[in-house]
Amino acid sequence: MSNIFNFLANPSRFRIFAKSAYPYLLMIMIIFIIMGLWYGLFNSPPDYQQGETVRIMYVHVPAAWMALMVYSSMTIMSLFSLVWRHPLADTLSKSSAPIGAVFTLIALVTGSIWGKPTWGTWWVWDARLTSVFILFLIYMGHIALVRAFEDEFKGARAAAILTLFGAFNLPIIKFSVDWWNTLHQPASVIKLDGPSIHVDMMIPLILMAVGFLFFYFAFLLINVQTELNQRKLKKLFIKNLNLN
Amino acid sequence: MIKMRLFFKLVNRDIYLVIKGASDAGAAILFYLLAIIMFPLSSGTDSSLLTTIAGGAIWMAALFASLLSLDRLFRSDFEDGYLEQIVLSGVSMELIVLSKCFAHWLTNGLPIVLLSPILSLIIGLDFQYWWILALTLLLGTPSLTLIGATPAALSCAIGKGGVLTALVLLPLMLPVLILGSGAITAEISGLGGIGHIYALSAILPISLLISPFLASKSIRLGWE
Amino acid sequence: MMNKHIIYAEDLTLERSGRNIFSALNFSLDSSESIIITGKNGSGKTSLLRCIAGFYPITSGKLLWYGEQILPAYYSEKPLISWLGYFDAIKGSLTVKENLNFFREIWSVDKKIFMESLEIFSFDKFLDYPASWLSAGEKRRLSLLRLSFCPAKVWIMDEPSIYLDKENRNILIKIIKKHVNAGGAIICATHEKFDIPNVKEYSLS
Repeated sequence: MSNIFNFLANPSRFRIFAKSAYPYLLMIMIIFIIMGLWYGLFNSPPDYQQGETVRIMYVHVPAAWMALMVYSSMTIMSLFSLVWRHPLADTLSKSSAPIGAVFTLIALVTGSIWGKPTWGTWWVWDARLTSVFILFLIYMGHIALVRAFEDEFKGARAAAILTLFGAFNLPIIKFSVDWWNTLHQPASVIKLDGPSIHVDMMIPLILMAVGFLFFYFAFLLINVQTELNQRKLKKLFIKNLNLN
Repeated sequence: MIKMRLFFKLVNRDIYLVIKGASDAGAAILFYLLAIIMFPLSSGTDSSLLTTIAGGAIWMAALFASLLSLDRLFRSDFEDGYLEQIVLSGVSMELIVLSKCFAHWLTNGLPIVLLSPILSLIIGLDFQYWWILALTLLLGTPSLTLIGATPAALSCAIGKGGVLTALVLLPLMLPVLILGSGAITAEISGLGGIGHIYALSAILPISLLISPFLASKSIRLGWE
Repeated sequence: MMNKHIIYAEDLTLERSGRNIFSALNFSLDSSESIIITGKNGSGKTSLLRCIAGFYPITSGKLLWYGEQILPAYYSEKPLISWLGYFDAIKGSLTVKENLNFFREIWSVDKKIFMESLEIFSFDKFLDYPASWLSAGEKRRLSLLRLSFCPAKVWIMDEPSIYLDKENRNILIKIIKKHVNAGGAIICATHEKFDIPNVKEYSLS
């Protein structure tokens, strides 16, 4: 693992890797999402209680999974960055945040759209919704703070510190929101996930999740490339400045 | 033992600076009082309503008061070169962070705790619940300070703070707020708030473990 | 290596925000020696000092303190450096005496040494003034005073003579000489010519 990291740490090598890997990742993502959508929309049963609206789940649930998954991967990157001072790890962590925020937003919006027909209201103070909302705010705070740094290296290091700090806090936040929710439980909340889910529903769910995962990989590569290009541009600019 | 003496010297100095008016800790306490008065002024003096929101209101005010003063926790010492001097004097950064947090709690958290029984009278919380309010604040305010240390240190590295610090900090402070005010609500409703208090007191050692480390990293980032 | 230098640098290179500040510097510092770093604005004088103190991580090369890879800003046994940076680290709301006393206690400075320093800088009559009343030059003098009673062997100074008048510059040179003669070592970034014994000059470009 560490070897791969060391190999890719060199920006130009990473750029070559990113350039060649990107189309494949994009292709896998498109294939999985198309398959997932097809299964989800046409080839899975409607829910016996919620009817056709249940199909929102195939976007909502994978997005929520990804919201957490992106944060976890950011945490691992940040650990790499703080312990081994790995410059690429900073950048990966920093570049992940906007993608994670978008997934969280998708989960929130689709959740709200799903809530209207099932709960009869756009928003309930359900523990899960609330903690996803807080996660979204954490992502946004992270993005704002990191972009406040004029020096992108420093910004990326700050990202690592903040991510790690958030990672310690997230379970506590989740726990406290759950606790708070049992005290303020709204009258009728339908449990979103039954203990068992129908296999025909599971297939599109997993297809979509894989598609979303590759969406993350592909866009992460773009973001990192942009970051590296920006740095290169700055370097060239300074070089020119010194020459003149 | 030497470390301990050093620690108290640092704390002493910070408190002395507060007494001398060099920091806005006093203003933060005034803000705390003002914010609590805002609640009856904005939502009416209906005593039954006030009783329900009292715990939450006091906790909100406490949260904002520490948020305000946390923004400057490291800033002035970072900007005038004091932190550089002191870290080169053979004091570890983690010890400095801890001493600053302790001094901040003594000048910000402790007054909030001590004022809370009187304030609970003003805002209409039944007086029999003063102990649980004071207890949650006593357990919660040190955590607020420690959780705030890392974002406060990061704001030194940016050179600007204020709203940005609050933006990062507020979501991280939510558990303390939820458990602190939840304990009071639970106690009033007859469910008993002791479970909340256990959970609240668990946050303190966790933040005590990670905050000094990450806040030190953040301040060093500011120097880089 | 029997003879350990206080500071030994080999191929010292610093890059910040993708910008090369200095590269391949070699120098060493021993007791009773001083290094003067000259160079025009933006040549990296301050960066080099901050590197030596451990505030900036070096990009490549070797930087040894007493033959070991210590960064003074991370090392916490006793002060390795008496530091005079760009900022004075003086609290305006405290009196001059309170400002000094705090560091005196932290460094556990002998009373005799402390009084001597006070005398050299003739600061005794200012002691009970709030530090905010001092002018920029007086603040600089106060920083130099603090620098001079710090028990650390190495003094690192960034533009020590800034804001100082002629008389105080002479005092500065006097304390530098005294320190070097007593076996101390000095690294100083400056624009001016100092007449100090045993000096090595490095020019950054």
